Amino acid sequence: MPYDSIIFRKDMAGAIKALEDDDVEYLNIAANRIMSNSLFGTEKKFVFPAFFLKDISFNLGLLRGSLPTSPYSTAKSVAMNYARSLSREVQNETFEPLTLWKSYSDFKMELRKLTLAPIEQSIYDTTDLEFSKSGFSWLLNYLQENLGSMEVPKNILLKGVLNEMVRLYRNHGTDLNGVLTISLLTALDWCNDYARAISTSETSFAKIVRDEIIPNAKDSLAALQKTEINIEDIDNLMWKFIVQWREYFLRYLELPRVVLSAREEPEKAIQLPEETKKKLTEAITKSIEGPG
Amino acid sequence: MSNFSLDEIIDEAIRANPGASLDQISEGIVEFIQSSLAPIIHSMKLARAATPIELRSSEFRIERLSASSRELTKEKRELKGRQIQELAWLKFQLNGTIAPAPLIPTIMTNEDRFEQPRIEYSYQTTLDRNRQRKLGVSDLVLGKTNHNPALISPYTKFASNPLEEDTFRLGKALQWRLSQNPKLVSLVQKIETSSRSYTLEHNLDWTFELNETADVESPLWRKTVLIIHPKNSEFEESMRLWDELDKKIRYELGNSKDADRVAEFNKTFFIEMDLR
Repeated sequence: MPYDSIIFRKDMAGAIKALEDDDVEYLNIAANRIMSNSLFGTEKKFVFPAFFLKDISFNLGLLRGSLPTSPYSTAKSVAMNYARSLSREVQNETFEPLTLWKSYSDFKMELRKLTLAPIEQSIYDTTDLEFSKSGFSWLLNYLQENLGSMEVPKNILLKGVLNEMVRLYRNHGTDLNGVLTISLLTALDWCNDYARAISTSETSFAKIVRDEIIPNAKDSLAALQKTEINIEDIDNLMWKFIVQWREYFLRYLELPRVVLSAREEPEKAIQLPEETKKKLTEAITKSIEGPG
Repeated sequence: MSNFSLDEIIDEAIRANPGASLDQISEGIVEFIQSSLAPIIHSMKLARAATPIELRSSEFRIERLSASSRELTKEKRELKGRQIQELAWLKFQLNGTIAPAPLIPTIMTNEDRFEQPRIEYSYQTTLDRNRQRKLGVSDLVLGKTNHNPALISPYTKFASNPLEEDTFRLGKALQWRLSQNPKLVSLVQKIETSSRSYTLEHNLDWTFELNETADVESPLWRKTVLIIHPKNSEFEESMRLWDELDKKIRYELGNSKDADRVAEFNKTFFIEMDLR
C-alpha cells in the first residue's frame, strides 16, 4: 500500500499534537517522517506541509531559547493557528501546493515581526518588499557567478546566501517569491551538508558537489531568476531535493555534529557504581529542573 | 526521590574503588557529571508554554496580590521563565542546530526517532585518514567514534573504527573545549603529531590520552593533560623517554606563530606517565 492521504493525515495529526505540547523535537521528527514516507508513494505534494512544519519546529526551537515567556507565547500561538489551518487545508485530498505556499508565505510574514530583536521592532515595523527583492536578486546573481567556489570544502556560500536572505526577510519582509527562494535553497543546503559530511578528502568533496549539488543549484537559479516564477518548477525541484536529502539519510543516517554531549561511560580508571550514577543523575536533573 | 548529599556519593565512589586516589575519584565524578548533562537536558521535557490568554489571566491574578507578594511572585515567574529559556536554548543547540549563524534554517535533525545527541568532535588528522586508507577502512567512516561495534543497530550512526586501538585519544572534556575554542586545534594537532612521530622514531608501543581535567585542590582551574600509557617499556627507559618527549612536544609548541597563546597554554599543560 503506497503512502496515501489516510496515513499522511495520521502523521499530520502527530505533528499538530507535538506542537500543542511544545515538543519541537517531535514536531521535527514528524515532519521528517512525512517526507520519508512520501518516498514510498507517488504523491509529491505531501512533502510541502511537512517542510513547513519542519520550519515551524526550527523557528519555535530558536524562539523559545531566545525570547522571554510572553513574546514566545505569542509566537507559538501564531504558529499553532497556522498549523491548524494547514492541517485543515490538507484534509481535502485535492489540496493544491500553490494554496499552501501562499498561506505559508503569509504565516512567515506574521512570524517575522515576532522574530525581531527588541531594538529592531520599532525600526523595522513596516516592510520594504522592493528592497528585499533587489537584495534577493543580487544574492542569486552572486551565487550564480560563484557556483564553482562551492567545491572548496571551507566555502559555505550557500549558507552565506541563505543567511543574508533570512536577514532581509526578517528586517524588511518578503513576498511569495522570496519565501520560495529561501525554501528551495534551504532544501538544497540540507543536501550540501551531507556532501560535506560524506566526503573524505577535498577531492572527493569537490566531486560530490560538482556532480550532485551544483547541477541542482543551477536548476534552482534558472527557476528562481525567471521574470515570473513558475510554481510547478519550484515544486518539482523541492520534491527532487527532498528526495535526495531523504536518500542521503537512508544511506548515511544522521550527520555527525559538533555536540557537547556524551553517551559513553567515563574513560577514567574509576568506575562509579550504577546506583551512585543513578543518584547523581537524579540530583543533576532535580537541580536543573529547580524546585518549581 | 530520595535525598542524599554529595559527601554520600563520594563515600560510595571511594568504597567502590578502594585503590583509587582522591584525584581519580574527583575526576571520575566530575566526568560523569559532565557526560550526563547533555543527555539529561536533551531528554528533559520543558513545561508547555502558557498561551497569551493564560499569561494575561496570571498577570491579573498577580495584580490583586499585596505589594510585597506581587513583587516576589513576579520575580519568581521571571526567574522560572529565564531558566526555561536557557534550557530551551541548550536543547536547541543539542538538536544539532549549531550553525555558522543561528538564523539559517538548519536541518535540526534528519532522523525519524528520538535519540540521544551524538558525541562527536569532527577532529580527524591527516594521520588518521592515512591510517584508515592503509587499513582499508571504508571511505564512509566519518570522524572518530567510540561506539562499541558490537552494538551497531539499524540506527547506529556510521561505522566506528574497530580495526585497531587508537594510538592517540582525545577526552570528551577536551573535545568540548576544542569545539568552543578552535584556536586550540592547531596546538592539539602539534601535540598529537609530535607524540605519534616520536613513537614511530623510537619504535615504541605507546598510546596517548589527551584530556582536560579539573585540579583537585582548585576545581575551577582546568588543566590539559597528556597521559602516556607505555607498553613493553622498562621503567628507567620510560622515564628517560618521557623527559625527552616532553622536551620535543614543548619545542614543537614553541614553534607556533602565536607565542602568547602558546605561553598561556603551556601554563596549564602537563605531560604525565601512567606507570601502573
